[in-house]
Amino acid sequence: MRSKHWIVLTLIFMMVLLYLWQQQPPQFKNQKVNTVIFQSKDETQQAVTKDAQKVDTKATEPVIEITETPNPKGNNNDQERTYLQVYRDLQLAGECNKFYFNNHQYKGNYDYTAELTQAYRSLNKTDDLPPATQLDALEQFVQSCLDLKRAVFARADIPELFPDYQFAYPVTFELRKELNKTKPETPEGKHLAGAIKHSGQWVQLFNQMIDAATGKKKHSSSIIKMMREEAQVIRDEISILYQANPVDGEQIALLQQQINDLYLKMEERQPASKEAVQQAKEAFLPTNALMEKNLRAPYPDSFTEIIKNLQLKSQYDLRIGAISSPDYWAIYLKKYIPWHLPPSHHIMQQSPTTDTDHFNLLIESASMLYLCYLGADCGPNSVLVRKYCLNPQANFQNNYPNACGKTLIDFYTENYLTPNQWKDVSSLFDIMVNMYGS
Amino acid sequence: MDRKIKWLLVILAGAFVFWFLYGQDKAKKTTTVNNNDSLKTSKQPQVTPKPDTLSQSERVSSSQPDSEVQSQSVDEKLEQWLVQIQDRRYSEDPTVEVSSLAMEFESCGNNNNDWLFTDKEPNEKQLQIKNLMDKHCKQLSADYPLLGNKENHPGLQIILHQFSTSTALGDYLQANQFATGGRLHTLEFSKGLLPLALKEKNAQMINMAEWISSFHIKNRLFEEQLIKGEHYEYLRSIQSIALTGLSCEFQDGITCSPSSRFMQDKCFDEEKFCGLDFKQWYQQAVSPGMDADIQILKTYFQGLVQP
Repeated sequence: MRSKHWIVLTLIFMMVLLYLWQQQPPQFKNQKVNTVIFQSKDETQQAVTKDAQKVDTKATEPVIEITETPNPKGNNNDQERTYLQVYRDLQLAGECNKFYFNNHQYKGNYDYTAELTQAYRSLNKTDDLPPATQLDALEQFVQSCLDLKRAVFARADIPELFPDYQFAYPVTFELRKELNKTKPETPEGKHLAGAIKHSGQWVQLFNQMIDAATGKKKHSSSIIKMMREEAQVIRDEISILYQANPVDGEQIALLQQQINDLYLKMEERQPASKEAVQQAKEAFLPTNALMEKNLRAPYPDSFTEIIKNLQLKSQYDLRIGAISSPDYWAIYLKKYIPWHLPPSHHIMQQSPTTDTDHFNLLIESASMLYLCYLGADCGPNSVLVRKYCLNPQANFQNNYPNACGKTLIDFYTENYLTPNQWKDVSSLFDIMVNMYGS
Repeated sequence: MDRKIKWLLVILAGAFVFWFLYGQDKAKKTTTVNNNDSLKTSKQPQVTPKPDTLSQSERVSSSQPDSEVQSQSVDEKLEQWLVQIQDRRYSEDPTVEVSSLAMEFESCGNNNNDWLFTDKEPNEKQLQIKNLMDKHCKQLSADYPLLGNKENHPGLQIILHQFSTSTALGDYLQANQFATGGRLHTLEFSKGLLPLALKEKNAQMINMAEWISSFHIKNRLFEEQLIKGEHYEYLRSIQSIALTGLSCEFQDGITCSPSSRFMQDKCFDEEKFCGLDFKQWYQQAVSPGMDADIQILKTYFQGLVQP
C-alpha cells in the first residue's frame, strides 16, 4: 500500500475518534440537589381530629424548586449556593454516608437492597420482598446521595474515585468547609447561622457545667493515657490466653477485672466544688435562655438545630423525641443538674399524660407536624417522610413502607395514627404552636 | 522512506488512541462510573429468611432418660408438687395452677432482681417497691419451695405433662407444651391462650399472653382493621395496657398491684409511679385518645370469650 493510502486511512481513523468523543454526554447534568417547598404560613391552620377537617399544610404557593448545576472544572460561571442549601446538603450527607463508595466501613460492598429486604422480612416475619414503592424510594434516595457526592467532589475538585481518603467522610467534610465559607443572606439563613453558633457555645458551656457538677477528673490526661495503654497490654494478654488449650477462664476473669478497675480509676473524680458549679451554671444559663428564645422563630431548620441540642439528641435524629426514657444519660443528668429541664418537659407538663413513654409515643408526630407547619419539606421525597419510609439511619429497622410516595400528612392520616391517637397528637401540636409559634 | 512514514503514522494513531482513552480530563470518567454505578441490581437479593422455629437447644427436651430412675424421680416430684398446690390460688386444674404460679414467679426474676438496677441507682421509693417485691417473692418461694428450687424449677417443664387437666385452658397448655418448634413463645400460642385465659378468669395466663405477644414489635392479638393505625410501639403499648387492665379484675388484682411486673417497670422508669397500682397509674398516664383505643381493644378481647 502506498504511503498516501496510509495517511488517508490514519486521518480517517482519527476523525472517527474525534467524532465519537464529541458525541459523549455532558459531564454533569443539571442536578436537583434539594427542593424547598415554601408552605403558606396560615396561622389559623391547626391540626384537628379526623372527624373534622384535616390539617392542610400542602403548599398554597407554587412549589419553588432550587436546582443546582454543579461546577465542572474550569467553569467560571458558578451559581452561588445559599447557606440553607449548603446546610441541607450537609444534613443529607449525614444520612448518605453509608452509601458512598469510599466509606471506610463498606468500601463499596454495601448491598443496601439486601439490608432493606432483611429488615423488612424480619419486621414482617415473611419471605416476601419489600413493596416496590419502598424499593423505588430506596433507589431514588441512594441516587440522590450519589448525585450529592459527585456535585461536592466536582466543586472541591476531588477525583471521583478518591482512593486515598484522608478521612472517613469526605463529603461531609467538604460541605462543612463550604458552610463555614458561605455567608447567609436571607433572614432564615442568618437565623440558622446564629442557631448553629449558639448551639456550639451551648454544648461547650453545658459540658463545662457537667464537668464542674461531677467534679474534676482526679488524674491528668497523661496518667489516663498510661492507664489506657496498660489496659491494652492486659487485653493483649487475654487474647493470648484465649488461644491456649485449655483456656484458663479464671486467669482471664482476673485480668478482665484488672481492666475494669483501671477504667474505674480513670473515672475517679475529685469532689465537686460548689463555687465552680455555680460559676458554670451562671455562664450556661444566658446561652440556654437565648436558645430557648430562638425556638420561637418560624424557621424549621433552626428549630431542629436548636432542639436537638436542648434535647440532647443525636444530630441525625430529627425526632424531637421528648424526654428520653430513663437511660443512663438522663439519670446521669438528673443526678448532677436536676434543675435543667429540656423543652419537652415543658410541653409534657401541659400534655394529657404524665407518663414519659406515652408522651414519647405522641410527641414525635406532633413535632413533625410542627415542622411542617413552620414550612419544612413534608413531601414524599423529604427527609421527614424518608425516616418512616426507609429509616436509613437505623439500618432500615422498623420502617413503614406505606409512607413511601406519600406526604407526611397523608401518611399520618391514612396509615400511621389511629383516629384517637390523632386527637392526642393534635393537642400536643396545639401546645407547641402556642408555646413556640410566632 | 515509505516505511518510515507508515510507522510514524501508526505511532501517531496509537498516541491519539491512548490520549482518547486515558489522557482526558478525569472528570469525564464520571460517565463511565455512572454506568458502573448502576443501582438496579439485576439479581434478587440473596437473603436467607430466618426459620420461624426455635433452635434445637431452645426446644424443651423431649428425650426420654433412663425410665426406671427418672420415672421414680418424676413421680416423686409430681407428688411433691401436688402436695404444694393443695390450696389452689388460680384454678382447680393442676396444670393451670402450676403454670400460673410459674408465671407469678417470673416477675420475681428467678429470685434475683438485682439485674433491674445494673445501670442505675434506685432511689428510696424504688427501693421500697423492690423490697415489697422481694418480700412477695420470698413468701412465694416459702409457700412453694419447689418453685424457687433451681434444680426443680427448670424441671417443671419436664414434668408438666404429668399433671392432669380439667379445663380447656389446661388442655391447651399441655397440647402446646411439647408441640413441634416449642410453640410456647409464639404469637399463635398467645392468640389461642388469650380467650381461654379470659374465660377461666386467670390473671396470670392473661399476663402470659400479653408478655409473649410483646416479644416482637408487630405481634398483634387483634385484627389489623380494628385499630386503624400502624405506629408499632403505640399499638404494642395499647395492647399491653388493655390486657393488663383486663387481668386486674381477677385474683384480687395481683397482676396490677404496686409490686406487679407492670408497675415495677413503671416505678423503675419513673419514680412518680412507685407505690401506685395499675388503676391509679392509668388515671394519670393514659391520654384521652389512647384511652379510647384501649377501650376498643378491651371490648374486642372480651368478645373473644366463647360461652
